[in-house]
Amino acid sequence: MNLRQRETLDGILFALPYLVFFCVFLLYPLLEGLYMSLFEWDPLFPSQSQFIGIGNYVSMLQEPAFWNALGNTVYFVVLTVPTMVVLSLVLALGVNREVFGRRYLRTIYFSPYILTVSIVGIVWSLFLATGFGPVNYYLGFVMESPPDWLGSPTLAMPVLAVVTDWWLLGFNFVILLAARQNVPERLYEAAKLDGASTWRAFRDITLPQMRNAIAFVVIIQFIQQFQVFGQPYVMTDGGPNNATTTLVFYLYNAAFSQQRFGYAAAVGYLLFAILVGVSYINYRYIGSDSA
Amino acid sequence: MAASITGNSVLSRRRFLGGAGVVGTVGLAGCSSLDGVIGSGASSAELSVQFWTLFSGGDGEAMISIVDRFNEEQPLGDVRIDRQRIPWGDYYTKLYTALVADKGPDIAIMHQALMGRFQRMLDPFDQYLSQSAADHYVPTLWEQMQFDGEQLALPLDAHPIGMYYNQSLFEKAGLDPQSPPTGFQEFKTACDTIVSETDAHAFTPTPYLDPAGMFRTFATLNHQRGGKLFDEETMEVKFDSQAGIRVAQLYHDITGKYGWDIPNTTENRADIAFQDGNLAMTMNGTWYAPVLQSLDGFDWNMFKPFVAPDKQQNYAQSGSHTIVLPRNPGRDTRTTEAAVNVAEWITQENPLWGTKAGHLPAAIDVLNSNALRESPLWPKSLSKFFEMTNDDQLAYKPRTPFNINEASTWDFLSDIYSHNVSPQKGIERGATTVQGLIDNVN
Repeated sequence: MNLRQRETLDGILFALPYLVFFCVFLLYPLLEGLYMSLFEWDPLFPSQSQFIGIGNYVSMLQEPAFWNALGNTVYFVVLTVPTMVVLSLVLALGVNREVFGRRYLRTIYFSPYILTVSIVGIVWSLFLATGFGPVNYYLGFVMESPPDWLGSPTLAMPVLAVVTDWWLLGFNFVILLAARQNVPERLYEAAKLDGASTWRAFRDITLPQMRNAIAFVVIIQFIQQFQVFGQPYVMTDGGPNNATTTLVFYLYNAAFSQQRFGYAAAVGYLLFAILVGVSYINYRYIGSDSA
Repeated sequence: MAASITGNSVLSRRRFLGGAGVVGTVGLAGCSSLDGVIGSGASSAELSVQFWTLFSGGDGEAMISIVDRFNEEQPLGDVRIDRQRIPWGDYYTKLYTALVADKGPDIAIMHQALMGRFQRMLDPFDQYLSQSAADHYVPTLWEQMQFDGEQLALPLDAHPIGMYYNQSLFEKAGLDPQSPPTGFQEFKTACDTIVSETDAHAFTPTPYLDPAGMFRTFATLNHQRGGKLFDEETMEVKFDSQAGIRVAQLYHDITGKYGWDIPNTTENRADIAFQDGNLAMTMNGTWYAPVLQSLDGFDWNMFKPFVAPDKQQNYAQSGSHTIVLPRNPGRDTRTTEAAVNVAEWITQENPLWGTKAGHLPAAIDVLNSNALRESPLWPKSLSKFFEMTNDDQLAYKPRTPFNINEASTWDFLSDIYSHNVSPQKGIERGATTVQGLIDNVN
């Protein structure tokens, strides 16, 4: 075996464990899900499942609850992703400067990210609870009737968005801070010599240099927030008035509460198509060098 | 140079793989040694019966005591119970998923109302029971456990709901705590008086303000008004009738024009308020009595919850915990027989389920036992629930083909209560949702 063959074999052997996991835990479920989505699936006796073609997809598009869930999900994404990206960019640029205690600030900004969604959801629910939550307790001194944060159809989703931003900001912050620190300082020195303003330097140096990192954060956050489940599951159970029933929450209920596994698989496939499509657009127009 | 790098990488990879192998071997050894530790106290003939429960709080502790007693006394010889507790909210999802994969427990707690949904996943008890088995249980409960002529469960209890009230607050408002309301007008007067004479709220349909609790009270009041939840075959929603809409209107008025509570369904708000003396009355199940009994100095009592407006009959909604035998093709006959014996022992030999958990035991001997009558819960709650049973005033939850305990099914009631939707629109939404669930199954 010559060196080239040996290296090829090494490469395959290195990749093999992942490929096995990929096939078993991703590719197979993906294909199985597609298969299930074409049936009225009987989980107890799969062989008795009835083939209905695209029936589940048609039903899905005809169900108002599906459109409500899709609308809620888009609303959540619109509320979270831009604010998260902008805020984490601002924090990253701020901490990149020689500010007092910036090491501590980095730790503080990142620390919520290490929490699980269950802890975040429960703590915030208790924090915002009417009757015994500290937020409304103190608001009670200045307001006659403080808001029912998680019980109002108008407020519930924005509250989930704020909680999500607080929770996940740290991850984006670290990515963007690393990206900012990779921008050569000589570019700023040259711009300064040319008399460029801070805004101009930001617009023409910082943003273009960080474009790939920003695109990465946008795509990752879009995918993550479009699949939001834990926050409504823990904090609002999809309510009030279905105002926080997101697409994955809807899918979960269809599968595990109603045992409509074929239908849920169809919803999952639509979600998959949306995520692939939007990720491609994001990558094409934000991350691509030709943009 | 390249060869040298390759050689090094091979070496380091070998080291890594070797290290991983060692770690893996240690991990496996750890597993096998853990099994060894678990099994070390058991004889080779010992049989472990896997038992899943969903109880927490007061009845959770009672079930732990029952299982511990079984494992200490070993009344069935070498049989032991391996109890697994799964949180209430996830229980039926996990049980369903496990049963689909034939990985379920040997026996499991199941609400009587869920048997319709799990029917195809349960093994009947019939062939394992003696002819006289039925004689041990309250007949109405025994019959509730039958499906198409097969005994799909052994009844553990009945757990109807009652109206719990704070006697101190009644006195503070100038009401006689020994003469609680018996109808809607008396109930309304009591609520109005509490609101006007104290700083407390008067009433909530459930202390938890959760959709499932809202449903229990809705079903109770709807039934008292002569309304039905479904048709006889459980194929068509019927709670969107005038009776149901009137109860929905009452929910809206409780937090609206009556001002008995605020339009806010923050979980457990009312439970905390009730236990802190800031809420006078709330409807809840049998399990609430031991919780209140455990509070030092809390002056509570309970009355029969027959307070629906324009009431036609006295009824309280009731659930029933049962023990089922999940299907499991891999389970041997010896284990199945042991599991059945364990289920019989749990349901027939434990007054603790009444005295400590607060439920009405389904076994006749236990229900009529002195232990139950000597319990501190007897005069306040158990005796009244017992009377309701004897007077045939319990309306058991229908055995729906969907999970009737699923919170999201009944969240329209919470939305009516918190004024997120009008009573009419809320009921319409609920009817559409529930009818959809029925249609999907059928």
